[in-house]
Amino acid sequence: MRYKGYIGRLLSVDLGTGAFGELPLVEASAEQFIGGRGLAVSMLYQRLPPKARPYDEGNDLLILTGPAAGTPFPTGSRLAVSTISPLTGTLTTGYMGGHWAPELKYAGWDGILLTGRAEKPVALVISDRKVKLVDAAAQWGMDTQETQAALAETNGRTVKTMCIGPAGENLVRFAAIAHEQHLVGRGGAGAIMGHKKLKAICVEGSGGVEVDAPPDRFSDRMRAMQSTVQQDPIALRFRQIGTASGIPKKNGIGALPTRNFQSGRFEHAGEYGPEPLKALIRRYESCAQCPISCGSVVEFDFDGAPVLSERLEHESHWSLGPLCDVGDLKATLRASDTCDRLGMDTISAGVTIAFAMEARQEGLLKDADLDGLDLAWGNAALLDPLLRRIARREGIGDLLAEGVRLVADRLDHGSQHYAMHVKGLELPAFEPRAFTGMGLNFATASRGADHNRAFTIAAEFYGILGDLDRFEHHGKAQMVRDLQDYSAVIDSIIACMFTIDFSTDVDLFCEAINLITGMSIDKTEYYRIGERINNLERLFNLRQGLGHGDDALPPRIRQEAAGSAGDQAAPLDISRMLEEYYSLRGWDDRGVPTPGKLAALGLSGADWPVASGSQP
Amino acid sequence: MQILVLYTVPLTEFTGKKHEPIELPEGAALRDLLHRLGELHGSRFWKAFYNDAQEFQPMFSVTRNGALVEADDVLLAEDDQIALVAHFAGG
Repeated sequence: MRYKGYIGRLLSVDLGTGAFGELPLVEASAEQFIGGRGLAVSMLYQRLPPKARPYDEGNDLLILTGPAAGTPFPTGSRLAVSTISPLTGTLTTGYMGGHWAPELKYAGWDGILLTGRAEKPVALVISDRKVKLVDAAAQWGMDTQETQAALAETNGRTVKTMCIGPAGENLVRFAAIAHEQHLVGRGGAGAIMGHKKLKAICVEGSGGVEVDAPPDRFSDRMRAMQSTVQQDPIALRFRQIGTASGIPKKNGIGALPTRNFQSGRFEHAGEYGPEPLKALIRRYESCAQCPISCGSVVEFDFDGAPVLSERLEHESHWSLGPLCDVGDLKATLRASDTCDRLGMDTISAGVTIAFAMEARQEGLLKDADLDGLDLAWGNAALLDPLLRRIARREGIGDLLAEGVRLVADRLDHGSQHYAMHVKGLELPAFEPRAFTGMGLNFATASRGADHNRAFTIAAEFYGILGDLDRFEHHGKAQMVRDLQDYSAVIDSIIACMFTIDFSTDVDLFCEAINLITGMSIDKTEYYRIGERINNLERLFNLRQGLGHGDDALPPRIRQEAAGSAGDQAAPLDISRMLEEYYSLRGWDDRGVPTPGKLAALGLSGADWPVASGSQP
Repeated sequence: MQILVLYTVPLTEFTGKKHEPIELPEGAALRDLLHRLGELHGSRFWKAFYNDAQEFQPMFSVTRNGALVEADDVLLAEDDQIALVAHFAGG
């Protein structure tokens, strides 16, 4: 590997046999895909057979860093986890900050490929090049915080640990992987880790990461980039209140999904604004090499017991608050903390509970099915006990652990109308009928409804400054395509999405990649890499059996106006935007990349076999 | 007196600047500053802070030396830093 920033090798672990090995990270892969998300789809496209299922023995769990991890590049010390999702049946790649990714690089690895399945619970312990699997029966059943504390006792407090909680062990389809209080939340990678009987991965390294640029120049530029991010006023706001200020603002324009997307306004939205939150903050924490420090730690009493939790994150506040008609900030924060400890994605958990509340309202879930729980809208006291039942698959929790799509399929009787997912992944906190570009992004994002694949909201909310109306359809296809390609490279570096609307731009990311690796990427090549990643993910989906029909929003979004979101928030028909999007992507009218497009992106030939189901 | 205005995306794109110094008379309030910025950058800028009834209804958080400002009659002082901060950014 002539490029710096990489170690040049991945650790492979066969959990079935206990065998360890090394895989080279080759230059061509680094050039074409950078790392993280790009490298993940390239490796899994070549390794997994068509129509691989999440709980097949052959499904891999791939953990990758990017070239920035372990360097001072601001927000760049993140990791990606990729696998076949038990929610969507296709590729999911999620991300996490904290301090684990640089430690893996310092130990001498760019990533870990986990294959096979252990017979009994194990933990993988990495100390530089020494690797072992150890019995984890004692930790099986512990929550994510207990697990990390127990393994710190065993392995030392400097060891960095990622782990699953009871939700992952019990194959909750939206189970997460945790490190410190950060989670790879979306897509259910925690369930795959649980299926492999892998409770935790502990890592400690003593090495470093070599960069290409001369030390003085590199230090000067990294210091300047750190300063740029740190001093940005948006970073200051993230530092003070996380992303929480968005809830009242969205509510003000009728765009806050409430009661399972029945309405766009929530009467208690102010409860989730900056001031109530500020009163609970005790201190701030940050990920490695991040000057934003958005990890606000809150402390308060709830039901007579102290709650100490990190991160003020508006997605979690929304899904476990307004979406369920709950207007109790402390109950929501407690529920979010419960999800973190049990190892579950807060978005999918909240959307699934809101769906269950509506199914009860419609009479599809009977009181006799609910273990004595009251699934009435707004019942804050329900959240914690129901989340615990889901994580342990007890009673009604066993059904809800399947996620919205499968629960709706089982309940049937029209409940699919209000099952709020795309491709099986539950919708996050943005109302597609009020932000049409985000609607198109939800429909086309390769892993389902993921707002971070193209964060259109800043541009759409502030469209008044230009000519971009948030209800308009014109111009949205190009915006979504460009943002998806832009984000794909950020996910491959891997940098934090919190930087994308301030301080940073494509030129800065290109400069950082070049300083670290020694590549010569310019803006044109940056977008070409992003386009390549999105096209390969599309091929992956086609090979899994997904196609044009899966690029669709939930029936409620297509058929109902957005409650009190105003007359303009009409049912959203994305068909014309989707047609334009396919055309801009160089895909045919069924959403299949053309041979010419694939050749232009270097995705043709023997290295990139196109399965018969996805033949252009 | 001189005020330093700090812009975030998308105002950086709209104004073409990340920050700019603005001269105002002594005793000026936030509304005077926004009025001046509206003159410099056009009516669309103004509409990002005032509704059709000319009521202060900002689409951005406004901070003065790092502290949130809730009303436009706040008096400004020499060397104040006024940041106009987007509510939505980055996922």
